[in-house]
Amino acid sequence: MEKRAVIAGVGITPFGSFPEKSFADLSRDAIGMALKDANMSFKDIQMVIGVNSFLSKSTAGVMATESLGRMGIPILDVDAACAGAASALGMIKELIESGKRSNALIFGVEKMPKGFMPPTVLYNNDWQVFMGLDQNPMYWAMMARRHMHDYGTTVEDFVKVVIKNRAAGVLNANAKFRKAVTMQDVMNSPLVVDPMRLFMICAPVEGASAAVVSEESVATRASSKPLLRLAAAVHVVSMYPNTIAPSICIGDSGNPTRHELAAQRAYKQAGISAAEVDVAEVQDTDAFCEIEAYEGLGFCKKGEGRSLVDSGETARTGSKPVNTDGGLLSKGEPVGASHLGQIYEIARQLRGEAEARQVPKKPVFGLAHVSGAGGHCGITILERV
Amino acid sequence: MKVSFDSNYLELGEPPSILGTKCASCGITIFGKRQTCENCAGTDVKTVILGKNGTLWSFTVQRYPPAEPFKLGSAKREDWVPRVLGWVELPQGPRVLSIVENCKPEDAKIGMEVEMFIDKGWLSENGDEVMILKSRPRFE
Repeated sequence: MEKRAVIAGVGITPFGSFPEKSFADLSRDAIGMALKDANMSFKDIQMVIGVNSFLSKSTAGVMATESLGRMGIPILDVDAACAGAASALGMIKELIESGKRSNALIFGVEKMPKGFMPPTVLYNNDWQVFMGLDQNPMYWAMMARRHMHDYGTTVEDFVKVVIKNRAAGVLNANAKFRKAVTMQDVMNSPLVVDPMRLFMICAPVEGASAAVVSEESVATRASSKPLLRLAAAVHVVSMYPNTIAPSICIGDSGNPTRHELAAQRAYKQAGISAAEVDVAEVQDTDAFCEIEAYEGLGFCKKGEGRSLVDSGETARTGSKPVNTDGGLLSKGEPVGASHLGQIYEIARQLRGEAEARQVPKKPVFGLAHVSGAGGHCGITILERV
Repeated sequence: MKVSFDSNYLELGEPPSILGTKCASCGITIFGKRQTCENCAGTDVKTVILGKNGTLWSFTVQRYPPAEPFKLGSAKREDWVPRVLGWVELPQGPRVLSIVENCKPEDAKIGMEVEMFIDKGWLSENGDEVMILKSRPRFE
């Protein structure tokens, strides 16, 4: 029989600032939750992939898990900016479906410093840093400005994304920001990189998330929870041009954007269309990025992303709920942990366990999308079976 | 002595040249001297000199100072004067990330005519004057 990979358990820590906890402490908190959720122990795990971009540690995966037991299994670390966990999920999916492994653990963790991401980590050319062309929100702002010019998107549209996501974040105990905001609050927050204001940009934070990925029969032996098939897990690096950090040159190429490229592959792998996605988590490192994601994911036509926010379609109670956990604008962004944080929310929604955040219709397909530095883009699709 | 910030992008000389790479396979021109085309990975590429007069394709205003080791002035919050940055579209097609000087934030507009120019950057470790590329509005 064909082997299928499923998400057997998910775990997450609150996202925020935790000076009293090491990255290993945070990791183990999330791992413990995911194992408990799957009704398994660390002894059941055959392989571990740790994901981070900003720890500056070698073998962080081992450091985080050695106190759980040295089981003689492979443990490795992946860095692919925001898409690290999507990449790891893709690799584990292939290993499980080809029968080479039947149970693996992926976790993401980060202890990000406050403020702009450290330039020396993200930028290759010293001169770019010497010139100060190294605040990554500036890239988002320039694409946002161009989108406004080309399609008539407005600053108010970006504000509406913030209002929507922050309202959702009120219901998420793990979010850094749990206060709803008004149009005035957002417009009164300081400009950072025009037209982007402080409240339109997510905060780098600390946090961890984890998932147990199993062959279907392994998951069902351990737990009777609804099965969440890993229908697609895709990671791509954008074709030319890379429009985000640390790019110094862009131009017309006719190539699909990173979002479009990843979406095409993910829908093909899952055997579904954009219309069949019932609930989604998309990258909202800045408010414009969510609109860009709608378009890249095919939730609407290019240039029409604003209409989905305006009509309420992507609100929790709309027909295509997006970022029901408040998104990164509410949770904050621990780069390596952000994708499994999304998977946590999608799993809760598909199992009907999202409590006050639960979407009204019973979702079958959930999609999680991340996009980040270097042009990395990841999409994971889960199906409740 | 004056030196270029990076000789793959700017060649000093009379006159100085902004360097690009044109790919014979896909036809795309990108900023900087390369051995391989970033668009198609083709190797049939040649170094070209990019025109300096372009237009502002998009822009933003940097309201907060960059982090150390910024070398074009103080990185202190209280000293910082917001500056315009943008993607400058050059005649052969590439859009180059650039500081837009002599342009107040409220005057920046998509489509405005700008020119690339060479300006003093910083002193290198050997005391050489490092010359960098910037852009500024162009008035006929």
